[in-house]
Amino acid sequence: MALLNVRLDPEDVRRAKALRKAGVPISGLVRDAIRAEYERRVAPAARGRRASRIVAEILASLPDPPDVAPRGFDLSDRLERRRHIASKLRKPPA
Amino acid sequence: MILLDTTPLVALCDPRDRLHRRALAEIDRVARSPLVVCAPVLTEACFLLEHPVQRRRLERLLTELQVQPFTADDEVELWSAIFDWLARYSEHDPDWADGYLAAISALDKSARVWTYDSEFWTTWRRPDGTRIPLATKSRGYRPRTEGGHAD
Repeated sequence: MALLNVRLDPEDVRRAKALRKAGVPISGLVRDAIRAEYERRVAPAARGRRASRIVAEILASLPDPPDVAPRGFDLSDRLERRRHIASKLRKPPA
Repeated sequence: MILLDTTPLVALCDPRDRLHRRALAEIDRVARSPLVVCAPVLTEACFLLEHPVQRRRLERLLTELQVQPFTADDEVELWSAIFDWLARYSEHDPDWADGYLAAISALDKSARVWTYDSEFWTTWRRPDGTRIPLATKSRGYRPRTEGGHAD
């Protein structure tokens, strides 16, 4: 196994000592953190189908029903979006 | 890490929107990095994706593209940074989600924002005044004067 050295400031040294004293193995904590961060940042991009294919499959399996109304404004217009959201907030529940 | 903004997220879920093709063309390149979404963006997206089918698509998209939720180490400190940012840009009338993205883009050096809002190119900056790194190189989408759906 490879050895990984990590520099700690005095506050983290204090925390590490306290964790050891509480029976928590620091090496296990570091391994868990590395694995979790790898799964969060690296693994998703490295596995699986093309994203555009995934989106196309989702759209094909959930087509627009006839009662979906057109939005009627430009999505990239921030002020239009805000007006739409504000109108929804003002609208009393059906 | 790619921080998703409301516009591309909604465009991906709405094939009738004229930004849909652009979002679909960009998603393969963008999704090479881990995708992250914050709660304010999801809130806006649900206001814009009103039909249950559209929201089901959003849910599946988040799941199948393995989009991760943004979690702040210190949300209260983040709120403070966002309120400061909103005050700084008050003459441009920004929204909470704009401030949220600007603030969290400064927390991770690898973070880039995927957006079609032109203000991210022209106006908004990170709290320290530096440019917000963006996921796409082209300028923000310029709105047409008429409605936003494709023919």
